[in-house]
Amino acid sequence: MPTTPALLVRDLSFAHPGGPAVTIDEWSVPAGGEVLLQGPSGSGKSTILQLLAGLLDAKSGRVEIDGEDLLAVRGAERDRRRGRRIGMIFQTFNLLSGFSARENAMLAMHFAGVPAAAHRERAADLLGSLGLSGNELDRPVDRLSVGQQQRVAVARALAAEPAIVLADEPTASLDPDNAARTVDLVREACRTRGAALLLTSHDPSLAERFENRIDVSTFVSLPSGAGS
Amino acid sequence: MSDFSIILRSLRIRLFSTVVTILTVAVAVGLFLTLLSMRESGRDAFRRGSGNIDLLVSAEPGPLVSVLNGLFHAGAPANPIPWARFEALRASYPWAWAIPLQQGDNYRGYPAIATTPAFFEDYQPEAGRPWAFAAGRPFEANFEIVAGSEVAATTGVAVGDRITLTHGSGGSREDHGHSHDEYDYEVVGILEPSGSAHDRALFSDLESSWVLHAFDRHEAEGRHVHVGVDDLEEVDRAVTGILLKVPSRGGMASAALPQQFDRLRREGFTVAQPAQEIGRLLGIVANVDALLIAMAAAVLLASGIGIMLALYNSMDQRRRQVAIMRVLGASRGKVFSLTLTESAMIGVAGGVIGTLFAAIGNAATASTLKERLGLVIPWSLDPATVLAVVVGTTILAAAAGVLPGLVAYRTPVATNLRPTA
Ligand SMILES: Nc1ncnc2c1ncn2[C@@H]1O[C@H](COP(=O)(O)OP(=O)(O)OP(=O)(O)O)[C@@H](O)[C@H]1O
Ligand SMILES: [Mg+2]
Repeated sequence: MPTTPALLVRDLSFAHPGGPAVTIDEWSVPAGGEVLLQGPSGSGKSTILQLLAGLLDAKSGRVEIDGEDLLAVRGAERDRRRGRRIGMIFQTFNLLSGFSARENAMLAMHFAGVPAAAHRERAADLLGSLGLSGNELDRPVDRLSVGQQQRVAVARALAAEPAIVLADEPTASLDPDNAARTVDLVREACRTRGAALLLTSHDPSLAERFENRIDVSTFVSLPSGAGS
Repeated sequence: MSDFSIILRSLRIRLFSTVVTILTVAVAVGLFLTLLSMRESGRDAFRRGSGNIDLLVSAEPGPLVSVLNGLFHAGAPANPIPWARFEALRASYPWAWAIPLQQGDNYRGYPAIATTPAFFEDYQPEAGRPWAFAAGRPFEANFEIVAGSEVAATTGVAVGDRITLTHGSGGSREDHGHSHDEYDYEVVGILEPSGSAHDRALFSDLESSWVLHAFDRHEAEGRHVHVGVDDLEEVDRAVTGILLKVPSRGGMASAALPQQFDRLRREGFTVAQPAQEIGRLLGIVANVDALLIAMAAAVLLASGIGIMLALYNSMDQRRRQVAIMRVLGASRGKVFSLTLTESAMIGVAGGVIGTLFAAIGNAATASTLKERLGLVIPWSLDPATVLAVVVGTTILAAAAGVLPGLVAYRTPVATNLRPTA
C-alpha cells in the first residue's frame, strides 16, 4: 500500500505491574480503515488503547500514527501529537462537566492547536452534522440526554480532524439495538471525515458488523502463575 | 476556547466556592489597605500640624510636650514667656518671621489661641497650603475671633455670632473652668479644613486675651474693676509659644538653624524642631503600627491558605477533568499552569474588589467625618502602594496554587478515565 497507515505498531511491549503483559510484534490499521478489537471484560482492551494513545509508557516499541511515532517523543510534544492525531471515545463519554457541548468540542481544538478563530463555527458544524443544534450547543453537557451526550463525545473525538479514533466500548451500557445504532453513528462520522476507527467491545454480537476483527488475546498474555 | 475562557468556566463551575474565596481575599486586602491608609493618615495629620515652621520656642518642660501642646493642642501650655523676652528674641536674629502664641482659654472645650494676624499670612499648617476662609476674614481688631472648621461644624458658630471664652484647663468639655462673661468676642471668620489640629481651635488677638487674664488677676486680688486694653500692665503681657522661621535660600533651611537652635537653648528656652519631635513620636507608635500591619498581613496570608484549600478540596473533582484534558492534548505543564493561573485570578479579583472595599469604606467614613466633625482624613495611599498590594496578593494567590497545580501535574491519566460506578 502506498498510503501511510493510520496506525502502525511494531515490537510494542508493556506490562502492568502484576497484571497481564501486552506484546504486539506488528499490527496496522490502514488510513480510513475500521477494526474491531474484541475481548471479554478484564482482557486488556482499555490497556491497549491507552498504550496506543501514549497514555501509558511502553517498555519498548513504536506506535506510528499517520506516519509519526508517538512513543519517540515524551512530555508536552507527545501530548500535542495525541491531541492532533487521535480522537478518543469512552464508554461513559468522559465529557467535561460544566462545559457546554460546543465547549467540549472547542476544547479538543484548543489543545490540538487549532486557531481559536475557527473554533466556534467548526464546533457548530460538527455538532450539527451529528444532530445537535440551536441552544443544545450551549447547554452544559450535564443537562443533555444520554443520546446527545454520546453525540458530543463523537464530535469531540473528531474535532481536531484526527487520523484515527480510538473508541473504548462505546456500546457497553447499551441494549443491542442501541449498540448497533451507536456503532453506525461512530462509523459514519469517522468515514465522513476520513478517520480510521479502532473500536473495542466485549459484545460478540457486534462482530458481524466488522470485516476486520482481532482478538485481544492475540496481544495479551496473562501473568505467569495466573494460568493460561 | 482559550486558556482564559477555560479558567473562567472552571471558576464558574464552582461558583459558590469561587465567590466565597474571592470575598475572603477581598476582605483581607480591604483590611490591609485600610490599616495602611489609616497609618498614613495619622502620620500625615502629624506632619501637617508642624507645617512650615522651623522652631517652636516655649518655656515648657520638654520639646515633645511643647510640640504636643503648642501645635496639636493636647493641653494648654502653662509656662509664660514675658513679652519683653519675646521682643528681645525677635530682635536677636533676622528671622523670616516670628509669631507669638498665647494659649489658655477655650470655647466649649476648644482651645482659643491668641496670636497676631501674621499667623494666617506666614504660618501654614501644611507647608505649601496657605490658610483659606470658608466665610468671613481674619481677625483685625480686639475681641474679634476666627473659628476652625471643626469648631464651626460641631458648635454651629457662624460669622456674626458673639461668643464668650472660658479660662482654665478643666478636664472635660463640660467642666471648662470659669467663664469670661464680661467680655464677648465677635466671630468674624470660619476657616476651611486644614487637616491639622488647628481645625479644632479658635484664633484671636493677643491683647484681648491679656485683658481677660488681667481681669482675672484683679479679681483674684479682690478688685472688681473693668479692665481695658489701656489698663494692661507689663505682668499681663506674656506668650506661651513662639513659632520661628529661619530665612531660607532656594528652599533649603539655612545652616543658621542649628546655631540658632543651640543659642536659644543656652538662653534657657525650650526649643523644638517640630518635624523631629513628630518623628520621635511616630517612632514610639511605630511598634503598635507594625503589630497592626503584621496582623493584617496574617489575615492576608490566611486568605491565601483559604485559596489553596478551596482549590485543593476541588482536586478530587478535577482529577477526571485533568485526565480528559490530557487526552485532548493538554500537557502536564499546561494543566499545572491552568490551575496556578486560576488561583492567581482569584488573587487578582480579590485584590481589586478589596481595593474597592477599602476605597468605598474610606470615602464613606471620610465624608461622614468631614460633614459631622469637619475632620479631613483623606485617602492617603499612593497608587504605587495599592498596586504593590494587589500584585502581592496575586503572587500570594499564585503561590497558593502551586500545591493544587502539582496535584494536577501528577494526576495519572489512565486510572482517572475509568467509568465510575
Ligand atoms: N494500573 C494497573 N495496574 C495493574 N493492573 C491493572 C492496571 N490497570 C488494569 N490492570 C489489569 O489489567 C487487566 C486489563 O484491564 P483493562 O482495563 O485493560 O481491561 P478491559 O479489557 O478494558 O476490561 P473492561 O472490558 O472491563 O473494560 C485487568 O486484569 C486489570 O485488572
Ligand atoms: Mg476497558
